[in-house]
Amino acid sequence: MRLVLCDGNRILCEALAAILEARGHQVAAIATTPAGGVGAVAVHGPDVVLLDLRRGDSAGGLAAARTIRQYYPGTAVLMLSSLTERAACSAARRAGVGGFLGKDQSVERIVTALEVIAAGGAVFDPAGPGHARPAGGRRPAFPPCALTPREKEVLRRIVAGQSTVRMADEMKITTSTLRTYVKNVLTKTGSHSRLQAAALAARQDLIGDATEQDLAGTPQLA
Amino acid sequence: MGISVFIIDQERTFADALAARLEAEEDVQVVVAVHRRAPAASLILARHADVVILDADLPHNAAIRLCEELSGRQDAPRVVLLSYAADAERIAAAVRAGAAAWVSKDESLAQLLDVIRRVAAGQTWIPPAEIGNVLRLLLREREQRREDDKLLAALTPREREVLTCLADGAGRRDVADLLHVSANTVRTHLQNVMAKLGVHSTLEAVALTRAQLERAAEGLDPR
Repeated sequence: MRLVLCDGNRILCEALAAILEARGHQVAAIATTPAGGVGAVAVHGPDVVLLDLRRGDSAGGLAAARTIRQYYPGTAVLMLSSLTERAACSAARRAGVGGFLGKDQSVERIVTALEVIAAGGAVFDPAGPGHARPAGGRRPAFPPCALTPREKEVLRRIVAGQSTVRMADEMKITTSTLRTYVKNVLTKTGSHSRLQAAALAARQDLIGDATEQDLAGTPQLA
Repeated sequence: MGISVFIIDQERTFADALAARLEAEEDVQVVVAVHRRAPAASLILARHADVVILDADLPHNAAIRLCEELSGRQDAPRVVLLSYAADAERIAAAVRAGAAAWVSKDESLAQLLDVIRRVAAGQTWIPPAEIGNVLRLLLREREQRREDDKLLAALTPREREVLTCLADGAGRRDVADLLHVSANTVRTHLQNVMAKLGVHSTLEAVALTRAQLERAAEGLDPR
């Protein structure tokens, strides 16, 4: 695979590049700022970009991830984060990244994750609270990308406890269309009721209820 | 003979990747790479590494403390501090603590390797862009200390005692009790102190002398 590595720690990028190249992968460019990373993606069109997320995200790692996913959809993003808080992980998910791993992971795991993501898969830190599942939770995780944006909105409103009429009203659709969305959401999440879907969504942090602005003010990211 | 390196970084991914990369160099062996927490100085010494690559951004200023502990020991390894930052004040603190080098994490790996080889050969490395500022800070600090010492020398032992009590947070009444004198005597002492130091409040007097008093009290500073 072809990669772009973007991390404020250039020494880390260069060390990872040596390891990846020894495995036959090609590191097209190294960048140390998110803006530089976006530029390198634009120029090289890699299969996957590794992008770091720093405390406070003053450098704009999330914005870079969003830009790359929007304008260079052929490039998958692995977010390598020095934070493993749930809020950081769900913000990254909303930005459309294919994976989110903490910097407490082994090199082996990072390399494997890059390979999985380049092949279209998803890797989210199993140790991080972003993916924490209650002990004994039997329900398999489902990828949030399986839901369309409209379905996610419906799920978000279900979690917020809105009624069918209110949802239809606010989304400016008929109640029968709304019911179709709800049915799809239930099918895709493997839930039997709206209540169950809501519980699942909240537990697995599928939709995230905070906006980016909200997030910027949370202590985890501040 | 090769250079043995001990790596400490709070980010496991980095500690591992750096170890793997350094191992590829013919003249470098990685003794161990640890993450999250700084190990005890004795543990580091036990591994007899030539060079310690230490995360300067460890929480609670652990890196500087570890430097201080190591630098006093015999056969201490040379310490290279690695940081996301490169500001003169932190570098000056590192130099003071006995570090051999400071390398910013946005430098290249080639640069880090060069520094590892330099410090192993007994050299010191400070980012060239900051060297002037670091030297200025260290010199200014020394001058300041000399002037402060002069100020303090003008005070009588009793006046210093009064100031020390106030710096420790005692009130005037407490000071009088502690020193077995009257509140009026304490006031007189303080008036003399303020006159000698050329300040207008007790607070200023304490602020001006706190550092020297602490050093004097701990007997830490022979300078």
